[in-house]
Amino acid sequence: MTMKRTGWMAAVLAALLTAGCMSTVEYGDATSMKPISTDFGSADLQMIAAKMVDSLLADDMLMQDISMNGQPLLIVDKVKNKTMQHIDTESVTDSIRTKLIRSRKFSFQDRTTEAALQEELAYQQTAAQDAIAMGQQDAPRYMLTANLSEIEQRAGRLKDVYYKFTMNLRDLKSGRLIWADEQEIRKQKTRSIFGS
Amino acid sequence: MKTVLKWLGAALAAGWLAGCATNTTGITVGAGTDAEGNLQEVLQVDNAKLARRLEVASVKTGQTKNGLLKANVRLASKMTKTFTAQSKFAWFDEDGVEIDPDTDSWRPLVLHGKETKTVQGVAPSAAATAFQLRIRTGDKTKWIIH
Repeated sequence: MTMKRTGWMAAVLAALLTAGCMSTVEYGDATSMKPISTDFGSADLQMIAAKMVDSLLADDMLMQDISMNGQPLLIVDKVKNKTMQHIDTESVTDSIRTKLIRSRKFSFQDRTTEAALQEELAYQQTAAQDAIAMGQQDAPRYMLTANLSEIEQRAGRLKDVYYKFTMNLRDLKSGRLIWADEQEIRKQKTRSIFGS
Repeated sequence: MKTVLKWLGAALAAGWLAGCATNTTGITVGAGTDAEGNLQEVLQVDNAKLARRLEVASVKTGQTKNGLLKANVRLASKMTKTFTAQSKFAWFDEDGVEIDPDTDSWRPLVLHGKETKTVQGVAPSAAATAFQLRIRTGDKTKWIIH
């Protein structure tokens, strides 16, 4: 009686454990916010982009100033990655630029596709009957520049990483910085007593 | 010995099953003008435990100078301990259709003991006339955002 009972329980436990051992693959939520490590993650990127865009769009005085002659034309500079990690900072600026373009309050120039554009225009001069003349692009008036830095601190089992993303809007004519905002993020990891 | 094993087995099974699926329900707060221009407020509570810990102090909407809807929600914590929640905005146009669904990400919301915090959002386009702020506790988070 007891042997059968313990045997049955052992079988149930074994079934439960082995079910947990199989590897699973499933689609996750792209907007979820669960931190996996203290490294710079996708949710950090989304938060930074959202904060910068909200801040730009909500700044009434700035929007009035730069939209005086119609929709302002901006260009985005590469983000200076001052962290020790390899981070694709272009994806942060891509997110910011996409949201701003979709708000229909800003226009952007994109220098990263300049080579493709020049190639197409050069080809059009030779082959197209209504070719676009070269040298007709609009010049951007404002530039978005940004910095991403991190400060890491360790003490015993605690690892604390602090990220700061600073973004500036610069008037290319006067050289002045007319808008700035920053987003600070802190991630903490406490190692368990047994292993990591 | 037998009863110890039985309780141990039951506890292990319960613990294993509890870790399987987290409760991700929450509270939805919203406001907006409907087709006739009347202000409509929404407060939907799906998680009673969260409603005991969190109170919606005020909901304000405004417009930026260039016609974008601004939303301002003040949340007050009723707990004495720090607790972390997540929040996300959803924006609706005048037909009640959600604008760009599922593009805004969950943002962490950290409330210290009895703290009142303001969550602000700006609509992604000028077509928005109503908003909803969704709050949930969901997946455990250990972030502190300043």
